[in-house]
Amino acid sequence: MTIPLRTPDGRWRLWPGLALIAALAAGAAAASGALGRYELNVLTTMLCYLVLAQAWNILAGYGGLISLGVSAFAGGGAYCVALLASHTGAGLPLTLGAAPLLGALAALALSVPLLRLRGDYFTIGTLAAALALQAWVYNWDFAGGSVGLSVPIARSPDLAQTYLLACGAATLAVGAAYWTAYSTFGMRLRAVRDNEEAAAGLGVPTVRYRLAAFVLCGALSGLAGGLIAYQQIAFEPGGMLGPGWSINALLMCVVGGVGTVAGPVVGTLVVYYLLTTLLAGYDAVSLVVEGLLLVLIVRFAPQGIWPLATRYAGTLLVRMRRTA
Amino acid sequence: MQEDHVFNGDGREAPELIVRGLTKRFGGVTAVDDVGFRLPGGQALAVVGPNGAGKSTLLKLLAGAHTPTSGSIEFGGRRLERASARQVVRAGIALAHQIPRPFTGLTVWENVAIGAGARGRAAEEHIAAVIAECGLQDKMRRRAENLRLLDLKRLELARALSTRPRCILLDEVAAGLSGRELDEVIALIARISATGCGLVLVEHVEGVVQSLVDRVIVMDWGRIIAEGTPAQIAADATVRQVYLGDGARPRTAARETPPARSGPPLLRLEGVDLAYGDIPALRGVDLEVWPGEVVAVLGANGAGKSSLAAAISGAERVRSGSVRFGADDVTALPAYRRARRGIAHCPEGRRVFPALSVEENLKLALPLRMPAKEVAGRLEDVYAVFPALAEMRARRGGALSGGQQQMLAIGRALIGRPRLVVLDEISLGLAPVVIDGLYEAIEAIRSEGIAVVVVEQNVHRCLAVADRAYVLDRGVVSYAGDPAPLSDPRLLERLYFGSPREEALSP
Repeated sequence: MTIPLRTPDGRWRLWPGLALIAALAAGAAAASGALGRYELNVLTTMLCYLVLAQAWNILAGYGGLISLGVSAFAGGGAYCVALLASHTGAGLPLTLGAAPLLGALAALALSVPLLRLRGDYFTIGTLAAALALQAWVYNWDFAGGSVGLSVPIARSPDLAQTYLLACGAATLAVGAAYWTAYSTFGMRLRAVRDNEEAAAGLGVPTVRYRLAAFVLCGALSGLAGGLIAYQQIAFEPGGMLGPGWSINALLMCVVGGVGTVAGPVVGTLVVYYLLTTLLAGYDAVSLVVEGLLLVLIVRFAPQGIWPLATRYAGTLLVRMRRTA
Repeated sequence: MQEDHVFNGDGREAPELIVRGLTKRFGGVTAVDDVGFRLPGGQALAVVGPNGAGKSTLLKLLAGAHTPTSGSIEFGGRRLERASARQVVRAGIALAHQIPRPFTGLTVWENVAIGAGARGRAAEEHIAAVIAECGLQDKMRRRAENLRLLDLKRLELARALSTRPRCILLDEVAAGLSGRELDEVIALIARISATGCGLVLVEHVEGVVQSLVDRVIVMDWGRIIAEGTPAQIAADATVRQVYLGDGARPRTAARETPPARSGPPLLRLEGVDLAYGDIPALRGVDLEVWPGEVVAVLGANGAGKSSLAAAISGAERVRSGSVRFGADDVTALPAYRRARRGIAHCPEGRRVFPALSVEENLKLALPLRMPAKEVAGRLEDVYAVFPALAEMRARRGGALSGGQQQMLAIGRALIGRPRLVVLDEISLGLAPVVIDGLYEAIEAIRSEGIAVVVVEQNVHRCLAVADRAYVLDRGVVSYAGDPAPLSDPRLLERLYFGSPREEALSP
């Protein structure tokens, strides 16, 4: 008996892709011994960005909800880790477990006002929620106020351990995105995105699906925030709760390809590694190139680099087969 | 596989649908007013009536998309008037919408799978069976956004069927279809009905109602004004007055003055090719229009009718060939410059600006610096053709009914005092009595000496006013000349779908 790799309409089934993602993650984890401090640091940051980008992608690309409130969840996760570690003495597993939980709970709480909103209003609502959280933390002395917080170094994992944890988180995030792309859950979520009323008319509980996407996004973002806290050790609300996380996640998804699994991976590589890291010494150039890239992509590949690349590869394959 | 499996998961007889005193108010407007009927299991009922009579609202109430203000809906002993759309679907009632609204980013397969619910091999077989029944098996990997109208209609039906309904609500599924496509959809609905699935049909296309249903109810202003068999309804005097009009009678379109076709034509297309990317829409089309003449352009969906309209108006650039208007070659001119020379285009879908008033919509088509007196005169000219518009000159475009919006769109084309008007699908989705009014307006336009090109699916209305007719088949002119022979449906069928090169007829 042959095991079907694809559904009758030609889409991949779930398990081949999940197996591939697991294999890639194992490979990345195995490489940790061969990497120096600099590489470990860069890769950890990149993997954290990848988690944020995939979380954003699940919500926007598959759920159709564009969020500018990434910092509320990522920052929430970071503050959760730092507060728990410094005040209760909780260890790594507990703090890193609490971060996604807090993200999910924050999403659940915010869903009450926000999921009533549609389109641009949802986006503005998420931005308002994120900015409100930042303003509150600035004035919350217990959480360090404007000075910020630091995680006790003694209880923090070392660089290689953080990298391994980031590998695990990224595997989770890419796996979740892949699951969203190829499962029945994701199919129904995309149906709600394309036409909420028609989906309800076919028996899909639309609110539940949008909520599920929002909570999943919140949990993954919270996890990424927790890891970022352990990597940065000390942080302040200006950066950790600022709009930068949202803009980066959005940028990475748009550059790579919103609504695809590989798109955010490509986008994270291009935006973080090529632009931020390679051009680190030339701040002005980096900004100009980033702006230019975005304009070019929005103009010539509005669906992102990855869909463009797969389409070209597809045409090339067909041509090669014809000539062969 | 048995057909029962496709449509009726459990194979039991469909339950009875009982509606009592159903009323829906939107603010001060009563859209559905005290409507009641019984639909015994497995029977078919048609709901007809003019635009804005509340038919679509009634279906939405039955489907749970709206909650009624009062009244009850009972299906198989279950009360559904407070149920959500989801619960109604679960109870076995499915709605296919008037305008297909697929999940554009999903494949055909996925679109159907959404409603099928469960997973596993049995569900996949069910999905495959529904897709095959609706004739979409070759397209199931395609994304819904790449489908054409007929396939979208099929998908809309397939999606409704995917939920294994025991009563299916169809909102104008035949709108926009003609000829063979229409027959195909009717046959599909008949097969659904034959499996014992209940059917509630809202429809303007008379043939669909005649051939499919047991009973008809006629609505006007939210109320039921007549009820009976299709034959009784067709003979009912009230119904003729509010809905059917006299369009059902074949008209003797004897014109007092036959068109004087002397001198050069006003519009002449020669060897026009038009394509969208790699897809050709028009191939070597020749067309001539003389002043004061009504020319009908007919053809199946996708035959290139609207492309021809766009080639005339300049909305699309032609690939090769020439477009001459009056004495000049206008092939290279963009649409706005052709409009200034006197070609007005009234595009399909009305395109009324919903936030602007009727008068503002009309004034948009006039030059900025026109003296106020002249503007008033032009408006009066339009109101003379469409007195109904004068009464609601201050109303917002979005608040007009479909027929009124179409009048406004035609009025906007006329206000620039064109020499040629291109009317694209003006009767789409309108009640017969409203279409009568529009076609009377065409007569009035012609009597002013303006040439009219009518692009239509509604063959009989169109032929009744046309001086000459062109039929397009896959981008090629398959007939040009006297409209009279086209009243023969067999000839028309052959011209719509036959192989064009061999059968091309000349005037």
